Amino acid sequence: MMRPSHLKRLGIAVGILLNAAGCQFEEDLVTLEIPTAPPQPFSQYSQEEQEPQVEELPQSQQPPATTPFGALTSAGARELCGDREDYGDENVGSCLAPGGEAYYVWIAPDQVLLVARDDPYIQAFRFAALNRADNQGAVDELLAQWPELGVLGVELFAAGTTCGGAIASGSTGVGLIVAAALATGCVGSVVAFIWTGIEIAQDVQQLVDSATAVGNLERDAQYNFCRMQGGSDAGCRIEG
Amino acid sequence: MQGAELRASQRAAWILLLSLGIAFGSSALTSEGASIVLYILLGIVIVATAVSGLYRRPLEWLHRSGGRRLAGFLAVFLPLGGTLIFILYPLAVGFVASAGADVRTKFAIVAVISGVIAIANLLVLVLNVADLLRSRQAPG
Repeated sequence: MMRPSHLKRLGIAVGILLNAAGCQFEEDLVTLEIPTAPPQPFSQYSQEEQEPQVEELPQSQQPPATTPFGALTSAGARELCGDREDYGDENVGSCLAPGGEAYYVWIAPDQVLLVARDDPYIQAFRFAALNRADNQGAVDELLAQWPELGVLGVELFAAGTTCGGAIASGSTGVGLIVAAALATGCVGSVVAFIWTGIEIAQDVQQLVDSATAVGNLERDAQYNFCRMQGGSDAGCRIEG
Repeated sequence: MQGAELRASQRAAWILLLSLGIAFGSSALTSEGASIVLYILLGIVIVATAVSGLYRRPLEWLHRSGGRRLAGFLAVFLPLGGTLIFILYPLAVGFVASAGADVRTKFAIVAVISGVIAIANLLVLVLNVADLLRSRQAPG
């Protein structure tokens, strides 16, 4: 299975080749525009370049037009939207409702709201949902690296037997060829063991970062979901 | 009492091979495409090696040439390594869940399998250490 970094590199290489061959790239993407997403209380995302104005957000412009749907699930909402501006996943996400004037948003498969398109919290919610889904994808990908531990186990077994054998053969005078083979195997398996160990340590670090980001972004999404329902800043923070 | 060391090292090799077989076999749960078949086959081959006792001959040779020290080293080193390696996955999944991320069912199943493997290795480690200590205390 190829990792995203490999795919990215492959994509860049293909792009360069196409460019060299004279192919023109025509943009055909629906971009997510988030001009003024409010600062989020839990994640570091979007906090760096914005002024702290969460207390002054326009609550009084007009009451947010939100409609809870008891029976509608996130899967049902996605079906209704038909892939239009679909961000996030089945647990936390949003999509553009038919008609284009409102969004379905959800923070659990069975907690769906219909929110007006101009709701002040919708962009921040979508931003959190999008990044949460990305980080959740990274977590899934890293947890799928489980066979790496098996490889580490094989290397441990090989290192134990070959290194032990090499040390033992030195003291008991088994044939020189056998001793040399065991010593080579010992060095190779120890190097492989360390290499795999470093890779696993890097994966663990990335897993910790991604899982923490998922948690923070989910709290951001819950905060914005709560604000969209008319909750106060303090109340939504406690709830989140 | 050289038999105790040999027995302990064989037990260590057996549990680690069995662990690796199960680990590779269960990798089919987290894989896609052709690698599923590959992991299942690899798991079956390793488990068969453990169950059939094919690993005993090279171990006996190591034991003959390396004596009780080598056997004792393997008896402790292999299950200790197995415990430390396989406890990582349930810890990682536990952290992911506590951080608030979703844990897919297949990863939860693998975490349980890995946890059981780690406990089995730990039990063998305790058993081996007890056996080795007893054999050293025994007269002769």
